[in-house]
Amino acid sequence: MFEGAPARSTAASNHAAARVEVMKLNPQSIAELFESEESALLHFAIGIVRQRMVAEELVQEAFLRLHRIWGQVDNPRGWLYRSIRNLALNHLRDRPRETQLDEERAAQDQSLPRDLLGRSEAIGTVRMLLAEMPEEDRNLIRLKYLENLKYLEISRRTGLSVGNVGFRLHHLLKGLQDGLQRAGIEGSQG
Amino acid sequence: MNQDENNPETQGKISAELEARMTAWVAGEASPEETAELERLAAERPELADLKRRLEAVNKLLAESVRPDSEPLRLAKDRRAELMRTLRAPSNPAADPASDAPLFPSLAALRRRQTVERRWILAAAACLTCGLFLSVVVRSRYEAGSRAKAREWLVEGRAAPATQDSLKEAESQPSNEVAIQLPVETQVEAPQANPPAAYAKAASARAPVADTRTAPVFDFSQIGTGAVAPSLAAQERDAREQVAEASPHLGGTAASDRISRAVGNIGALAGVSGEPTVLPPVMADASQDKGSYRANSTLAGTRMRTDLKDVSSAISVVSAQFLDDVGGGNHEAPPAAPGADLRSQYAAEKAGKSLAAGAAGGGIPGGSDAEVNAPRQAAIGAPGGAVAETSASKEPVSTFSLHVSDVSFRLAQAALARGEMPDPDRIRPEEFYNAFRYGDPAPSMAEKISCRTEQSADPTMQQRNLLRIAMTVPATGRGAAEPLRLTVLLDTSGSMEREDRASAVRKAMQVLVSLLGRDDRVTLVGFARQPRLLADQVPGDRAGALLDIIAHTPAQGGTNIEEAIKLGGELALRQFATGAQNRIVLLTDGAANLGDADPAHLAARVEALRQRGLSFDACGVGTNGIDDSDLEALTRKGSGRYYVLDTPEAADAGFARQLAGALRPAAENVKVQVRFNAARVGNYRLIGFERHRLRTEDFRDDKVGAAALAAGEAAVALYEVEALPQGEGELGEVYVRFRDTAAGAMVERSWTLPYDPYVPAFDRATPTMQLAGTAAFLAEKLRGGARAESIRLAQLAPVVNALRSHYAQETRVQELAAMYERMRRMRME
Repeated sequence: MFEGAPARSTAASNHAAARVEVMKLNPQSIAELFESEESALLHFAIGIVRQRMVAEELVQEAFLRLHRIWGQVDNPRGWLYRSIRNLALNHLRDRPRETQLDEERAAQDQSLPRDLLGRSEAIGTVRMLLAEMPEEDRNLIRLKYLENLKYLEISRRTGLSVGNVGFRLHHLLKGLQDGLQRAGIEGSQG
Repeated sequence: MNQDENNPETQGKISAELEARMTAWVAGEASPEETAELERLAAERPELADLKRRLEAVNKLLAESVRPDSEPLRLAKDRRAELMRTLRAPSNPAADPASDAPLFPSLAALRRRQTVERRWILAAAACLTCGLFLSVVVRSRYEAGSRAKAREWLVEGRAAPATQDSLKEAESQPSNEVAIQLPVETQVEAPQANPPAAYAKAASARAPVADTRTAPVFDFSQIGTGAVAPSLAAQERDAREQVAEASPHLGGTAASDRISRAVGNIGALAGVSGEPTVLPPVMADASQDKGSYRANSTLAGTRMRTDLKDVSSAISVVSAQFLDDVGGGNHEAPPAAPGADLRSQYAAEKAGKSLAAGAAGGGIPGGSDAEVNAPRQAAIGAPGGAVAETSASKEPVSTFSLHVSDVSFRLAQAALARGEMPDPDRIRPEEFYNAFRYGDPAPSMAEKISCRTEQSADPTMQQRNLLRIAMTVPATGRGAAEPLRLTVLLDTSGSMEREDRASAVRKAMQVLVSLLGRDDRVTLVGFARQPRLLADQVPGDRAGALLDIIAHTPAQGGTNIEEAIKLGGELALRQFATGAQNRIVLLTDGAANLGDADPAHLAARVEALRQRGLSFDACGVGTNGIDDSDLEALTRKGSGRYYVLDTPEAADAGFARQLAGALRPAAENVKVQVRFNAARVGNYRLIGFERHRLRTEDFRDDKVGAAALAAGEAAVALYEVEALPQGEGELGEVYVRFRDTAAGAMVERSWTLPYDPYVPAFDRATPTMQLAGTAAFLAEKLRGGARAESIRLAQLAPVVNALRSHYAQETRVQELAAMYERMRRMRME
């Protein structure tokens, strides 16, 4: 169940929840959250630090930190994405240059093509921004982009008017674009 | 979007209603009539087409983001199991005294740092409380405090509401301090009817600048007292309006936000007024400034936004769009596995590109070079034609600009270190074999230039010799007596905010400043959507103040290189001095996305400046996403250099040396011409320099620009030559022509290329020959094509081993050896 989501969208939410991973409803436990976000967070971290081993360390670290303060965090998923990003950028800052040892590691990562890495970072950033959105907005995005519904259908499911759906989606896109740009993802830049 | 950032003339206003319609269109919701209508509008208004492209990009990203990953990744098995055990255990931090103890040894260091930072935070917090009663000097420390605090939250990643409040609290304190750093803001927020007399006096002594977009300059002597008030009081109302319009989304309460608004508005103000802006004289007195910014030397100190959670990150999504913007080619995702397929794909792309470049371009990538490259030389640079040899009987003369750089080598090395294949289009063999110091003998001062040639058998091709031609200029360039007029164009767009880029730029500027002397003058222009004059004609010995300005210039907005070059050119001409080195240096991460980003137009602009005596250097910051070929093309037009600044260390080592060299060239406009003796030489091929080839007649045409050589620098050209044993005479002659910067006169010299019937085999050649050859072969291999096929990496192993031990102290050579190993591992053989 989407916490805080208006009743009118509940049916729709249930309908999709079963096969949605990245936008899944709030998990009950940290282990569950780990299961659902492991892959996405790893992709995100690799996209920034470009080394599988380091990325794994960062993901592990983020979960360990979250574990210690579980229950005190309002939005664990958003928290995780932010943490991963900050940890990864800290890593880049503290270790700007690859050492000999890292080169060995990097050599193991040659299976990861470059474009995919950049893409991973961008997608991770979008997911981070999505995780920080109000549930209602995220639901709209999900209906539009995951279920590929037309405005009309979204309007029927959510009870919003068609014009309103368009208007809100537009604002969400704009907000995302701003967020991406601030994060230095320039595909969105103006 | 940053619509607040002034200038309606380049960014047409798009109404909210129209934006919403565009979104619906992109989302596939528009009716056919609506689609037609919007298409028509988009065709008419480029900014709409631009908006559409951006919306589509976000749309596509979103669609991908909401889907589960097609290839789910998992942690390594052991790590995963261990983590799951911990996560399944109940979490009760209060009762667990060991919760702060490191859970894994590898993380201990991180924790320790946190502890240290926590202590620092406590100290800063105490400071904050006292600060209400303390003086301006003490206030300046708050910034350090609040930044450290922000950093703490960054590390913790907490987004608790309390954080925001305390940050706000921290921010609310230093408002005076902001005004101190940026005196102009005092004007905006608390306008004074009477500008201080000092300013007025200063202003009256200045010549007006014609460019009305120019922002007022800070008067350095006033930094620290906050007393400056530009004589813009009359426009106070406008300023207020501008402030009211300023972006609501740029980071809330951050002090930097206010600074950026202030800067932006002053920029706008000047534009609104339509009157020439009077520039105050710059009395750069850094003495009052030193030490007032506690955060300067910290990592946070280089940033303006205390909103550290939004640290910027890599450009990569961009590739397609960015390349589009700058007129690049079709760079779809290269396949993961390197190998022949990849290379052939690139070859195909290259072919397509060169078709587009047309006959004039002669198949050499980058249409902007068209007029420099002679059509008849074209075959050499044609796709797959790197192999093509030239017949000495048909075309005995080979002419090129002796351009020294190591950028291609370093980019390729960085890519390989990441486990990626470098882009074959970006491989320039001459930048591989010129990445090393060969220790060729330097000439005496009277000689101006020396030339050393050596030969060996070519191990990769039958009946061919390698011919290495090394030109060296005297070690003590007398150009040092020559003053410098430098105009620095610093990219302050949003993407430059990334910590690694910010610190690299900072380091680079420190190096640059340290190289300047009393007679030198520096003008600093920051540019994002719009260029702004940050400092005007600062004397070299006071240039330290520039570092503070850079540290306090916010990074945000798009990248408009065109406007920057335009303004930079005007300012550079204003401070132009005959008998001085007049240079423009562009520092950017390369993502030109606003204004006229057409490389050909930018190149034309740079060339026009060169003809007026201004050289143009470019420095690419970061190795990701830089379109280095375009920047490099610009520097070629501007007789300048192209550098890459990928890490702060690079600023220290390579960049320092190179910049120092470029700023004090000993020889300018260096052109080399080799005239082969057709009676002795069958075919020949110059390895690399495809983009630097000149027409035969250009050699003595001094209006045709060419590269510069710094004091003590050597440049190498490598040929593959078919020496005919039954032929007669020498191989030929090599000519070099350049402008001696010390004497200001053109110098031309020539040497004979001897024929050696007993050239040594490659594995018995001199180490310098082996080094140059190996670097060239690796470049050819990475570049792909038919020539790469004939190079067997395994065959080079003995030579690489010999080099490794012979050059045990040379990091670069060791890097080359490491690249070789990596290439072999990456299934290139």
